[in-house]
Amino acid sequence: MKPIPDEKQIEELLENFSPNTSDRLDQRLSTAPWTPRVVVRRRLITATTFIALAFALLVAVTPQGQAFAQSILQFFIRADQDSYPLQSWQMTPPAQTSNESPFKYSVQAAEALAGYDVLSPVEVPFGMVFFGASYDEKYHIVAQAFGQSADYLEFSLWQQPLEYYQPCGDISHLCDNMLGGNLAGASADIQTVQIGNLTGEYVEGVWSLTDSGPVWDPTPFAKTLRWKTDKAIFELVYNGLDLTRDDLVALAESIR
Amino acid sequence: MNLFHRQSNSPISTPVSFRDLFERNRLPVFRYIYGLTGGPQDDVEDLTAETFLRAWKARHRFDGDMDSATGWLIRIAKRLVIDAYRRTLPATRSLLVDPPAKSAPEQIVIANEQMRFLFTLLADLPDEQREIITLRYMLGWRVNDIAQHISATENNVSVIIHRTLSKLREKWADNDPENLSAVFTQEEKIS
Repeated sequence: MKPIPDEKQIEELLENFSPNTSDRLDQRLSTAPWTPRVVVRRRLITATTFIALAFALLVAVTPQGQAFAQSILQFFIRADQDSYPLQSWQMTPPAQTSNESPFKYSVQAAEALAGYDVLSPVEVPFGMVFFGASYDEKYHIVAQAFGQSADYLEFSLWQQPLEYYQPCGDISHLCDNMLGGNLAGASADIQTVQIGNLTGEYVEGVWSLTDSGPVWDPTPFAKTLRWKTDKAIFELVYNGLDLTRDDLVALAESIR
Repeated sequence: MNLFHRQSNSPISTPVSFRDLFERNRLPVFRYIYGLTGGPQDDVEDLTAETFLRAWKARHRFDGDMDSATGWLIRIAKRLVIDAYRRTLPATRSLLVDPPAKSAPEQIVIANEQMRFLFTLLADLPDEQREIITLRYMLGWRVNDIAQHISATENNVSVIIHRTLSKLREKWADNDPENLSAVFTQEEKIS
């Protein structure tokens, strides 16, 4: 009969089997929330957040703070009110424009016309496709349009070399280029955001052109994110509710 | 008044106390998962890490003492093992048992082969039996601790252990593919 281990030997085999963890487990948990390094870092973040909150409160409640906040905005200007009387430019009929979509170029074609590198997101949001690019030769702006269908372009990316950038934050004049219009309502919540190692600004809202004049509508449906590199200024415009501010920041970070 | 710290009676709510818990229990949790899954080492370590990360998230809900924390961690680990089993087809799993450290090469080979085979047999056992065997022999728990942990009587646990060992012995006899049993015969002769 073939010899087999008895129960005692099986017990011993199991008792003597003592596997140990390797360095891999320590590496895997080196950034676990209970490790001293992470605890210190979290305390630092908490302290910094406290300071930032205190500063934000100061800025929000004092006139000096508000003036200071406005002075550090780079891409938007806060209007002194949220509604204005009917403006003369509102009464001027718009210039005749062609029915042809301006987004008629490929990125390569727009790039050739513009003479600079046009950057695009690595991946577009789920369900959207690239519809085309436009080129504005007066302001050297290339815009790329994305959306779910040609009738509904939800998201666009605008790029302009810094040397051509001309802000036009004045309600009494119609700004004829997308990137120049940087006036937001007095109550607009203009947020500073981090895009990789660049600083940008994000705002929700749009001027609604009513019969009695422009009125700032802080609708979350209209989202604008602006930032600049050492070469160009960028604007990402999203008309919709599915994508959040953080989604837009992630999109901005992904452009190459 | 502290507005920012959640009030908790848990003895493991602070990073320092949780670190202590981790150091005391990393090996038992690791061996428990090893016993249930049979390896491989990387997967067991991933599940061990995940157990402690889950425990950290749930630490405020733990209201026992440090001694009962091991049982609590074991329960978290068990759930993770079950989830991992559900995600993995049994056919694609491999039982890879690492050799015990500081052994001579020949002993390593023998131990590895025996454990590999034993884990193959363990893998065929019902979950409860495998868990009890792991707690008893790989973690060195006493029968009464196991009984308390699985809400059974001590007598019941003892019977299960006895029957499981008998079953392992029978299965070994039925399935011994490389005549590993000869090793035991030789050992008996030597002793």
